[in-house]
Amino acid sequence: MDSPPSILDQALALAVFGFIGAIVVVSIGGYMRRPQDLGQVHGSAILGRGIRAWYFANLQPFEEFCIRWQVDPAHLSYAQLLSGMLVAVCYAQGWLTTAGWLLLFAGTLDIIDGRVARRINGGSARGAFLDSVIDRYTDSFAYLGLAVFFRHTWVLWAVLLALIGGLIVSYARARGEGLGAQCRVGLLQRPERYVILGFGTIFGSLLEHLTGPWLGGQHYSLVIVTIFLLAVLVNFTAVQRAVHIWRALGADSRA
Amino acid sequence: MRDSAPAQLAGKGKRVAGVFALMIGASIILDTHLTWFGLPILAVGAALFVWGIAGGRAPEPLAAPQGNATTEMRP
Repeated sequence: MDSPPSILDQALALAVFGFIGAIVVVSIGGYMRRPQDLGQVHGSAILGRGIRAWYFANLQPFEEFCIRWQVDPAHLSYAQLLSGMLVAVCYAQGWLTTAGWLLLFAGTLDIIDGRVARRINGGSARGAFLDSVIDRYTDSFAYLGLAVFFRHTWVLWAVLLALIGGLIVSYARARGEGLGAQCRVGLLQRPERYVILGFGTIFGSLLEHLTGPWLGGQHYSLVIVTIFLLAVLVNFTAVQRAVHIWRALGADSRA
Repeated sequence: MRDSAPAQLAGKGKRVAGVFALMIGASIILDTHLTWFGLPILAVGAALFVWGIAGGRAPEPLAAPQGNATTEMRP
């Protein structure tokens, strides 16, 4: 953004903060009244089963819509890829709030396409392969945009570290499963990465809009902290998975 | 009367789509100078959200008429 935030920008940023806060409060209230059926939902330390089940329940109307209108899950994957490209453009331009929401949208499409594919045909191998390839591109596009935005600062190194870590996390699982070792462990899998990066950039950018005029310019402190945190935790997850697979392969592994 | 479960599901869908559109529209206005582009997205999102809230609730069943009450005019 070229010009400093105006009072209207600040008011809109405050309204967005308030709206997100209201949604969180209402959602927690609704969840407390009617807890979701956890069924076969897998959870993690960061995104537990309850929050995942709640989000899946919110996406159910879109699943039903896609099934009723026979939407090909591959088309949802292509839409996810397009969203990923837009995320890259927005990050590169410094439109961080928009990029954050588009990243969450891309992650949501990723969830819907998998669930729709499983309900239509039980999840074909071809669809799963296409989904994996598009997931890697979407993931990488986000870091590409951030790398362009922070290209003249040391933050670029943290972005590249996060990118490498994210690719290794996925590769370790694919390679491990190819060798016969099941691997579902990991502190920061893709949904967690989307949520942390998405909300980190949304709130970081909104804070800039709110505090910019008083702090004399834009520092992106919260966004930088998010990227740094992501770089550390994603690489920790990569090592965690590598160790898990190493142990699972046991004595049969020969270098 | 519409079946309440599909109506609630459709209402939930409109609310979720509305939140995404509302937030993306507001973000475009905040981040860029493309207000002419962000404002319609924001408006559509707000409309979907309100529509989802209004239409998503299960309709209350009408009370059955008591006794022989009727609005028909007798000759």
